[in-house]
Amino acid sequence: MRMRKQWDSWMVIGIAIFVLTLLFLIVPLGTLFISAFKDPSTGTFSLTNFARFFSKPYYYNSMLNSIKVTVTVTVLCVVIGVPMAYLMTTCKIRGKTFLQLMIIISMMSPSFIGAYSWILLLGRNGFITNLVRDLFGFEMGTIYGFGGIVLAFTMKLYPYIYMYVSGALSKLDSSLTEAAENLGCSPVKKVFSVVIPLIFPTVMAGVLMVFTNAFSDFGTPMMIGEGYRTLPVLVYTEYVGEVGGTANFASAISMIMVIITITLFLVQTRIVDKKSYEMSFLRPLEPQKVSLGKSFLIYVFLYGVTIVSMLPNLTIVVSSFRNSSGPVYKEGWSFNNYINAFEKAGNSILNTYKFALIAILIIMVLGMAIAYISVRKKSVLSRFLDTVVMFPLIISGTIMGIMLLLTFNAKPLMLGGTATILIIAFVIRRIPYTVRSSSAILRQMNPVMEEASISLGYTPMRTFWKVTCPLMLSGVFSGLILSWITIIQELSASVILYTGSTATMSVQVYTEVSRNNYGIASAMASILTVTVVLSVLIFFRLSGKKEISL
Amino acid sequence: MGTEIRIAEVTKKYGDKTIIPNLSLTIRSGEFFTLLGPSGCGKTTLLRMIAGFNTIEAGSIYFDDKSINAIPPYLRNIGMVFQSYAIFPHMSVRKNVEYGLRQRKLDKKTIREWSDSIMETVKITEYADRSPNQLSGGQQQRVALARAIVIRPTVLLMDEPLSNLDAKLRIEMRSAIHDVQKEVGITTVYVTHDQEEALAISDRIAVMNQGEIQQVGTPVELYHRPANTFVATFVGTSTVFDAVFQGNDGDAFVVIDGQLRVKVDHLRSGIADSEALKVSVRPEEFIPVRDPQQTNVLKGVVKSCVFLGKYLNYEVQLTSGRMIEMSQPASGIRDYFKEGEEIALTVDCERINVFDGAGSVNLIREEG
Ligand SMILES: Nc1ncnc2c1ncn2[C@@H]1O[C@H](COP(=O)(O)OP(=O)(O)O)[C@@H](O)[C@H]1O
Ligand SMILES: [Mg+2]
Repeated sequence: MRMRKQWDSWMVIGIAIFVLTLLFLIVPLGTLFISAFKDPSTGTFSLTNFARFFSKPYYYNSMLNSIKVTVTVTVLCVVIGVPMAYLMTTCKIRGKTFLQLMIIISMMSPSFIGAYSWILLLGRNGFITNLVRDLFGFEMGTIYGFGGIVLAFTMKLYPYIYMYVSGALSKLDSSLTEAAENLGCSPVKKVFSVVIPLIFPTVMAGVLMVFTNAFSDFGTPMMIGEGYRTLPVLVYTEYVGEVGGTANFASAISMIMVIITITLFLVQTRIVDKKSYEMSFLRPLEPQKVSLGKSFLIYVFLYGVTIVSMLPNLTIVVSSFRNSSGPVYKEGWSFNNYINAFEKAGNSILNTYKFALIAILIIMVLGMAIAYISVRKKSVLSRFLDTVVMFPLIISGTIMGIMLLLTFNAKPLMLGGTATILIIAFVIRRIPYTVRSSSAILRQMNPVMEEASISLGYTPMRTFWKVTCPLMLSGVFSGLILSWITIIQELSASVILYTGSTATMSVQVYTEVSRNNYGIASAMASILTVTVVLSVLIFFRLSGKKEISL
Repeated sequence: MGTEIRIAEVTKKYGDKTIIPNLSLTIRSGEFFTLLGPSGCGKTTLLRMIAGFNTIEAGSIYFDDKSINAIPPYLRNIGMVFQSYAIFPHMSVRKNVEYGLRQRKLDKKTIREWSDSIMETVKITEYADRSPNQLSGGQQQRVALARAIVIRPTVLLMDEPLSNLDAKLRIEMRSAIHDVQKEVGITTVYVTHDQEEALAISDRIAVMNQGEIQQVGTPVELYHRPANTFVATFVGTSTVFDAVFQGNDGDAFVVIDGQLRVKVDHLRSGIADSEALKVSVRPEEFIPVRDPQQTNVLKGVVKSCVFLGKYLNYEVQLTSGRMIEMSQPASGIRDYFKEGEEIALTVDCERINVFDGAGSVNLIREEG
């Protein structure tokens, strides 16, 4: 029938978004793919790049390193995150809200800044290293390399497991665990026989999250790894290296990374598939009082982990006020670092907020539209969009940067070196959070609400503005906050895409650290950290929430 | 003033599944018309076709002889009330009511007047400035009703508007809806699966089953002369018996359950002797027989007895083992049967209904 007319405006929007996705995601992916199979010297298709990767230990060792780091970090995060979540849900803990806030802030803080702070604390000239030497005349081992990377990642990523598992535990019915107790399970056995199987799918989701984060992060291993190369570092150094033709090699390594992540993703979905439990009638677990001796241990554990994970943030802010020269902090306190930072790199501070704001606005508009199309206008196109748009979640920023640069470094779309290409990278990389949260709230919204508006004379488009939009906003914002926080601290894609005039704060911190300008670096890093913390606090205040939904 | 809705040979399919095959129906202007049927029979589907939210695979729907097939839902000027209220939670009650008017280029004063007057009619004036989530279900449904009729729609469509309310509110709201509809005089299509509600509220009812209309008629017609055994059992309670026709000198007899032979006037002609029939009997159409000599009866034992004031409700187990429902007007204290007591029954042959063997055609001729 001729009913079709009313969907026309959404059809146009859908197609426009589809074209954008094609242009900025599918085509770059294709370009990366093609580039990986091109012989750098002859320009013909071949497997040279892959052969090269697997022939030299220098290269394939970095893959083994990546896997070693990632697996270790993931295991540690589970070992720390799951018990924390369990204790926080089932025991009465003083200062729970505070602990939770600290955990969220550690999770949201830039990871490369965490790495940098660990250097300031435990590095060659670190605060704690020096303290131990002065007090005990004892040389601590260095944290550079494997240990440092694992420490920085774990302290930044265990909150993911914590958040996921807390979420799952809060949806567990208390009658389940009570039933187990009545069957004679001891508390420990209860945890293993009842709770773990039930939260297993959630743990796996968190594991995937930690794994992809640790696997694809560039800043942390670059800062603290020194000789210890992981794949993102290798991709970066190969790509920006001076030797000609290495773009193809970098593409090939990127492909290998993408394949590893996708495989893992598929394995995870296979394991978790059909294993999630829905509790319909809910009587949440009640926090229990615990005995004094036990509670002492619990408090040491909970507060200990939280404080250690917050330490980098405190360190960075404190040291930003110390006088410095090069990589050495000196006696006395002042605002000199900030003054230097503003003088030397004020531009990058402005850039950060400017680019992030533009990207966030685009993400908000596109994210809502994509969510609406994929939830309300089901079609082949919308299913495609829904899947493809989520894809960047599992691609390393470094790879994203290379993809974009390979594709848009030639006419007709010469974007290399512009602010535009940075913003595009931000949008593609961080729109999934907003799409996901917007879709979630739309799915909960009864479409009857929109039909009521249409029957009252509003076109579907006006209905979207008058009814759907306002009702979606809370969900949209819970995704936007995540997009925003991750954009302002974006490093891995920016470091590939920036030029002098488009540098952002993260890039600036990174370059200042590598130039041994620790003072400016810590001032900039503090500004970033404080922005993150303030954003989280403002979001909590405005939304009345106490969590960030991942 | 109201609009006539004519549904002409309309078909609805979801994929290969035909939900509504070739349905025709005329809803008269200004009437309160109800689509009644078991859940899943396609009532909502049909209503949403009128509203424009469902496509029409074949046929046409007319408002006063004007086909609306090609008109998008937002131009159909339809008032809709939903089961889940669908009140906009981000607007006050007044904003909700004025929502449709604000789209209609009316001046502020008119908007205010119309919405004030409608809120008066549905009795929500005192909540005008509240937020909807401070209102009870019944109040929310009143807001929904006001919001739907304030735009002076061509027709008013309601899909099970009372089914989320508790029993007491349901009865209160049902008369409120009825009164408001009569006051405003809009053609109304009301969907429900609750036959009691349909009987109480409607001018006419269409009984649907599996996408097909079984019968259209007034509540009284449906109750007393159901078109087939489906309607007989779905609207009110009926016991359906197997029966056999016996002609005798132009007199028509029906033998019910092989035991009770009654003379039925007004039967259609052309029924063959010994033809299998169905007979439906409502609880109040059973008549207890006191005379123990009488053999032309259905015998049974009283299994339960509920005294409801104006009448008594019995469950009787017949000798065949079948349970039937029977009621008796409260008359005098000595006339009641007790549990366990044996009982002999005949039926009111003026009121019972006789159907063909398939139960699909009512064979009673209405005189006049
Ligand atoms: N969107 C749809 N897709 C497929 N089948 C549907 C859809 N909507 C309704 N149906 C089917 O159509 C039939 C009638 O549904 P509906 O009109 O909602 O029944 P009612 O309102 O009478 O309870 C049901 O069998 C239902 O499963
Ligand atoms: Mg229905």
